[in-house]
Amino acid sequence: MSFLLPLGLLALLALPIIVLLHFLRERRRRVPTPSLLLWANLPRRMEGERSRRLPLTLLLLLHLLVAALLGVALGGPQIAGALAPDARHTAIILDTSTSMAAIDNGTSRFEQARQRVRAITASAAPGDRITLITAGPRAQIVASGDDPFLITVALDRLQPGGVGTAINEALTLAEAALDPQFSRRIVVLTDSALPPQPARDVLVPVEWESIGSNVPNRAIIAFASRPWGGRLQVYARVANYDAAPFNGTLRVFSGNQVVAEERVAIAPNGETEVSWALTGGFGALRAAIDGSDALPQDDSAYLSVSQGRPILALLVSNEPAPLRRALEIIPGVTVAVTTPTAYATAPERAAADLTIFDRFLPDAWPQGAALAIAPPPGSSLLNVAPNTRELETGRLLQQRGSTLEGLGFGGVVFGAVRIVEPPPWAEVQLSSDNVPLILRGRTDNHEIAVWTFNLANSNLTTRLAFPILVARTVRDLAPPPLPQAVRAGEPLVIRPDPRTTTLRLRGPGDRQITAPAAAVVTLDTLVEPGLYQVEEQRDNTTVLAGMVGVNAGAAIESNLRPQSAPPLRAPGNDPGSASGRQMLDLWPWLALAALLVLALEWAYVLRRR
Amino acid sequence: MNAMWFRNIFSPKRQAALPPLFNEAFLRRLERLSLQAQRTLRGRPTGGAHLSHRLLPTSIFSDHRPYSIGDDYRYVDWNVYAHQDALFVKLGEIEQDVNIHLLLDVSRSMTWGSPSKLRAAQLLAGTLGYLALAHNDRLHVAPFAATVQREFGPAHGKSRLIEMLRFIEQVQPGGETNLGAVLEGYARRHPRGGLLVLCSDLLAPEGLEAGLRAYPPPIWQVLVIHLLDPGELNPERLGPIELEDIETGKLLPLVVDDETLTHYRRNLAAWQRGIESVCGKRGATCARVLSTWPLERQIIPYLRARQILT
Repeated sequence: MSFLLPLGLLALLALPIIVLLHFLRERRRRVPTPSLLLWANLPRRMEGERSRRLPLTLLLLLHLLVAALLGVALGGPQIAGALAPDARHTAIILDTSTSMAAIDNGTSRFEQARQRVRAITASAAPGDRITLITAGPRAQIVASGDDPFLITVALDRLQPGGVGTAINEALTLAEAALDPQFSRRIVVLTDSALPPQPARDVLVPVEWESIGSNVPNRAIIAFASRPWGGRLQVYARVANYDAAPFNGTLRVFSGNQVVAEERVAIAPNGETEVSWALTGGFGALRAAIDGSDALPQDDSAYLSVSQGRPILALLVSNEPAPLRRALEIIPGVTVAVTTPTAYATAPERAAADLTIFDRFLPDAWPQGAALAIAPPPGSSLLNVAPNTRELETGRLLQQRGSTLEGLGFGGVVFGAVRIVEPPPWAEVQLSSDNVPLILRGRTDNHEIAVWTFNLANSNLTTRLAFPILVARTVRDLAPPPLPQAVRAGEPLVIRPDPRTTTLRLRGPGDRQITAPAAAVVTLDTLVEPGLYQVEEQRDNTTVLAGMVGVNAGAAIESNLRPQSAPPLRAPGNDPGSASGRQMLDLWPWLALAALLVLALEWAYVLRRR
Repeated sequence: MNAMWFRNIFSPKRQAALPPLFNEAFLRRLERLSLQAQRTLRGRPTGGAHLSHRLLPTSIFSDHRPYSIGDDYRYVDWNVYAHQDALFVKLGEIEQDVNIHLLLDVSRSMTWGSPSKLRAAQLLAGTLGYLALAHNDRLHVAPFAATVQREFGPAHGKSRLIEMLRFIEQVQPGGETNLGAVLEGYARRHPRGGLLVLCSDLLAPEGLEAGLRAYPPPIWQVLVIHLLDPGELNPERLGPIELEDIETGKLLPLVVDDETLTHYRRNLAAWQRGIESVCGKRGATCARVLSTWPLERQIIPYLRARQILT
């Protein structure tokens, strides 16, 4: 017999405590008698003798029995299951990363692993249970049960893809999923194209089966661009995972047209970097290295170039000049100006991504983001006091939030500011003497910023901090641009336009993904490399169309040479690994026995009354 | 529903409805009996069933005495007057009623036992009260514990029978026994004397002697019915226990083993001898009755054998 939690046996210390309590608080049975008259003058010597002896009552024995049963149960006792069923529970961890798509000995590594899973499933005896876990960028259980057909169906649906193999996560899932009532084992089917893994303990025996052999591969492991001096600077990094040098051509395509190419010579197991300065407008670029290898998925890389999200800013002000100047210098921002009286009929009102209200507030927040400057009292949107407060110059300002980080407001005279009661959805980012100056928040899908000071009474517009503050506020309020590219399987985080109701993605092979819009949408199912069209739609009208590249090439994935299995320490006393016999937990039986003894004690106590 | 219903599942003693104390057939059978009152008791010649010890003016006579002013002319022996020219009154033994006093101990100690000693005492008191009323005696029933509670009587004649039985049936037990004070007080309030029947377990620390001193014969005839439960005579070997006096609530830790029981029985025997001795000394009759004895089959034959009933 062994104990899972030997520390639980400390509960047995209750035994001497119970004996002590019985010894100290021995309570004699109380027997009513009509009178003590005839009992009063009896010799009492026996009473003294008995009080020094342990009161061995049935109640004490029952108490000790209950405490002993519970104390041993807390230790988690197990016995080798000589009488246990022979049923096995096998957790199969199947590597579904991109490297498993590599062609190895005429067939893909993933297909070889799939055949192995089928073989394990076929060899399962009736009553055996199998849990299939995929280990891609994330680990997840895809099927579990004792029906081989269900496992096979789930297996047939799987495809390799995604950078990274969450092997540790998968092992943890497997340990949790395995039923201790069965003889347990974990089978890992992987090409071992893994970064070095730290040593870890596992509770059940692990059979590590490496799929594939040492096959050469070349990959574009980095591809990026940036605008630079009116040109587009493009950067690519190519790796050669082969014992022989590689000589080939790296080409950059825009559509089907080659826009740049470079001869590359890469040393064995080496890398090289290539960069170009391209002119002309491009929507997306694809880099490809010629030649063929075991893993064609990482021979190309994709990039979306025009990622800027155009912003239409509608300025509602009677004195728009300083703000207009600050807005117009922000790249990608188009400014339209109107007056408060004309705002209701302004044609840009519905299309504006950002509306700036200067000393004016509408009846409702606009559909896009909004910046309210010196909001007047009497609005239902903000609780503004009718009077203003003159802030003293040079008072200490309380600053928080990344938007204002590094901005200096020294010497700025804010003048008379509006007293705005911070609404529950907003936080104060700048204040002086507990008077809020800048508030930021989100309410009912509206991104809102509030400046309580009047720009006309302030010298802020003459300071260097003003255009920076305006630019940061615009960037903070407007949705960020889409990323140029993500790695296959890496979560794609999109903060769509607040007016968006539906997000549509169209990937290679016309694969479509539709997701309802939210403040932040995270997609982690993009495992197939290629260019993905992203559309933010509102009522079937496109609000924004963009592209995101998904690339399979990565240093940790493209190196197809099998690595050694991570050091896994199985417990030495696990009888499941030693003899194939499973351990039977005894604690439920002990707890049940304790319950029965308690019931017996209850009946005994009631009967004695 | 009783919140402690579950206790009854394991309770060996189910609560059973007690049968009525008295029934009509039983009372009819009792009519053949009568209380044996001493002839020395002073009663009133108003139709009782007890012969008086003294000779009194009567029509059925066995003696004469000179006439004195105030005597009833009906009892003047006119034949003697014709012969001797002197007035003599006829004297004879007349039947008289006597005062029957039933003192019923209703202290908490009487509730002990199964059936309780109180129930046996109620049965006895009802029986004796019935006999008293049936034989035209003047009946007083006085339940007592620390003091005498509300009394019944004096009652005369069978018409008070139902009232008397209800009174006895409805006595409420409770309180400690204060036998000496109760007996002394009761005697002071009833100076005419009579037949006193004391139904009690006599578990009073002060004992019986002081109380009986107030009941001197021949004014009083005292009958002590000492009620005991078999459990008091032969307690079980209970081991280490705490004895709780149900009257005072006092606790006495004790190990009831063979040795303790031997001492207990010795105490019990001495106590009983003491009671008998006091009764003998004070001219009282003592009858020991177990609460489990059936009334008709055991108690009444026993009382007849003791010539308490005839």
